[in-house]
Amino acid sequence: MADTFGRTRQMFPSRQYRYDFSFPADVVMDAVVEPGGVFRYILGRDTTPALVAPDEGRASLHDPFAQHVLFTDGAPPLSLRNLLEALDAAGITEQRSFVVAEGGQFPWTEATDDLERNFRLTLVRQRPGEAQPDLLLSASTDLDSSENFLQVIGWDAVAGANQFYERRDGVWMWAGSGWDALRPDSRGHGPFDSHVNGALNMKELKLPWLHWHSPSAAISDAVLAPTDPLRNEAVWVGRSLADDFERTVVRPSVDRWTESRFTKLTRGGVLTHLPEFFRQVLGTSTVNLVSSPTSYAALQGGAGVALPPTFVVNVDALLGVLGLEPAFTRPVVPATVYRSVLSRFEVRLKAGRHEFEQDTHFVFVVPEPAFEDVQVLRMLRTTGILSDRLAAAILMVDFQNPVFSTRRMQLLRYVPDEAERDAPTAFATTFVSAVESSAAARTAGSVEHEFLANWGIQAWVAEYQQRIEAFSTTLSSMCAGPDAFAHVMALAESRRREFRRRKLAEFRLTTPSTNIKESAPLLEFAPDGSVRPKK
Amino acid sequence: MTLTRFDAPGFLTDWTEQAASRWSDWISRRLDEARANDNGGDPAYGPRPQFFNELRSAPGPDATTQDIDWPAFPRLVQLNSITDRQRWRTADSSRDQQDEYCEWSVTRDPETDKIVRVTFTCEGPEYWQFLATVAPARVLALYQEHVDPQVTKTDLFQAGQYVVRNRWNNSTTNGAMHLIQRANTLGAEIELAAAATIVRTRNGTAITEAQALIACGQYGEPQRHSDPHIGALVNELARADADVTLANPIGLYIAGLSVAGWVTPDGSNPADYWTVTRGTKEKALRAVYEVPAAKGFTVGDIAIAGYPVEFGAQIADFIRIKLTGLATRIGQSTVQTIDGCVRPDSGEVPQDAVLPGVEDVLTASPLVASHR
Repeated sequence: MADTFGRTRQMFPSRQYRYDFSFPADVVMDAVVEPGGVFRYILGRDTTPALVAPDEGRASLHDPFAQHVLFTDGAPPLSLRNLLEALDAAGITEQRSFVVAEGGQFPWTEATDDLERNFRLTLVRQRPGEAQPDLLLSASTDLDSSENFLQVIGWDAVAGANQFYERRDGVWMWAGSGWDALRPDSRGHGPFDSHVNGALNMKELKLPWLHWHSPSAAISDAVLAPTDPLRNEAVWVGRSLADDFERTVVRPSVDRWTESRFTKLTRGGVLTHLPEFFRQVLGTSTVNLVSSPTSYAALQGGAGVALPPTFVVNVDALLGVLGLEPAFTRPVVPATVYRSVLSRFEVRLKAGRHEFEQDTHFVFVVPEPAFEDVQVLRMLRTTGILSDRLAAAILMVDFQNPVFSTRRMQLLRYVPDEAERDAPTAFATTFVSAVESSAAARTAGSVEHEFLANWGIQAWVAEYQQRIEAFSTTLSSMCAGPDAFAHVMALAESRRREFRRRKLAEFRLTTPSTNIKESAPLLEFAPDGSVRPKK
Repeated sequence: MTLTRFDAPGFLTDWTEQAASRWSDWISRRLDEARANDNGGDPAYGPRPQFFNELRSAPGPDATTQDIDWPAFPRLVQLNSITDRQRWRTADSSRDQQDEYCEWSVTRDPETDKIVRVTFTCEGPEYWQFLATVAPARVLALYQEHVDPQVTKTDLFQAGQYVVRNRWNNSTTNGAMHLIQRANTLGAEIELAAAATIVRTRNGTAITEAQALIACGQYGEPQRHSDPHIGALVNELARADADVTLANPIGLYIAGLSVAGWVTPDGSNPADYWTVTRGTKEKALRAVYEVPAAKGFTVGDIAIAGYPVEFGAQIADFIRIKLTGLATRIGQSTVQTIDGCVRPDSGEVPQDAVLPGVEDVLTASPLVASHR
């Protein structure tokens, strides 16, 4: 019955950890694992899966999944339905379910049954009365499948980190903890290709929560076949809205993990592993996706397209955390201009044999600085390592390129290994001295030179506010006509291409296709607002 | 069980049996009017035969209810703000900004300026206009109980008429007894739900997307969280060929508060300081967030997502509002779909036109005469 429907025929190869990348050529997965077992397999570190005995599992993994399901008597559940039953039996009964699907706004027809809508269910479970869920389940909509992807993230209060699990080939794998996301050998492997820094990941975190069932756009029964039994499943019928997931699950979880990192890596009042934190401030370790709140349908009706503020500058960091208050002009593109440029770049949504002549449901989706990176900045500030002045001087380097700035990232080499907390002046002295001592510091045009020029500005608040105001005003003027806005759109597509090069990009429907080649030169904003090939 | 009377929102018992019947009559009339409304003969506007009055047509055995919820924080404010601090400040600045059927007022310590209490309400103004007519003393007593003991009758009534935006209910700092934002009315809720039951098509294809539906049906503000979302979900029930209405007791309710990521100075559970003060747990109309004085700290000492509570809006971020829809005779409706949209000159649903409707009911009421 289940395989009657296109959604259940869809597999999620990118959702299953890429064991084939690290297996020695002569190791066959099926020959290594035995059914019913639980294995440790941290990609990048372990060469083969290693059986974890129940006593060992209970002693080392302290999240609810390990303690109450995985290492209890009997074989672990293999399907989502059986897993939910096991959690019920363990008293972890309070549930909310969320639905995300890139094709979630395309009503079902026989002709689109095979459209890969990329349905995923995300469920959170907690005991009644608990303030915050400690268990997150990510699964296909094939509730009884023991093959389609099923992953669990559990908060381990002892480790102070998330533990990552996947059911694969009839067994459960423990794939590592958030700490493994930060270690060189396992970083970027397995679950950490998308949970890059060990945090929960909700790509489309903010309003309008593109692709999610949300107050902005419901994923309705209309996307399912009329006889699809999923229509009557509790996880579907009772689906909650994405804003709830953002506000009460993802943001608190990212905060909890970020604060744990700062706590556990502080020794004697000194924060260690400092470059691990600063790479999230200076670089783009991961991204969120944000879009205009304008839907494609509203655009067709004549609504203008307000561009996301984080497309312009890192407002979450510079305005939200550091408190700059420029008269920020949010660029709005007239509908006629936007539609003209969609046509010019032949913007489509493509998936397999299906092609739709339109932008994403909410238009102008672009990567933005990740919430988890902004929270690291906030913590560096509140723990007394980064002063506002130094943070602003750093972030105003190449500020017109809030993501994927290789230029700003070059400053990481001047970050010391550790720094005393509650001593921002001392850290600033160390960092600035290191930059000043570099040969490049005296080379006009170098990133070091740019940073030191920023650092030397006494009235820095007024100066940075003026720069942001000028840039946002320029960008707004570029949105008034199709020729200038075409440059902005090309840059947006360049950022999307950079996103698509990352493993975080799983599905072709996540972002639109254009007539710009994937291999075309990447673009960036110059300080004057012009668009140029990336240096 | 067959419904014989519409209850007061939240099963409140502020009035007499006779007044309770009058309230039921008023709700019933609003439902009938919403069902029949064709805005002067526009078939794309109405009537709305899939919307029904439970007193006139009992639900079938397949009747099922569905909560429809949305965030309390106003989406329009969010869209027009760049940072969290900006949006919190704006939302806290005026009740007119609070347009998601939830309004709040903040009480601060006069010496420290820290927040000591935030009061949230989702009670429709019509209920209070009605109550002021049938039981004015009760209105005064409720204000004194819930807002401030210093409230006087002359604060609330002028020339015998209840002042909806009186000095104890017109700001974000001096109390919030019930909703006052012009779009936040029970009448708007009923009209929206009724209008959304029209199954619409364009060139033969069903319109299902929230923004397309509200643009076509013109039943609310497209930039709010609530209106397009309510409309889309109600319309989904209608597309299942069901008859649809709002479940008794018709009202807007606080669906709940989450305290995920909140931290109190003493490690106590932040949820302990949330109290529903009107309505029931499931049908909460009013709630207060306040730390008992004995705890030695205030609301302003609690941190949410790492930031101390400086605005009531920070709490509103974690509140959800809901209404409850009822669907029945699922798959049995034979109502024809409407191919086309409401005439452009129809304008928005007159969301505050509900207020004279209260008077219509009360004009014939002896209770009105006795009061006046």
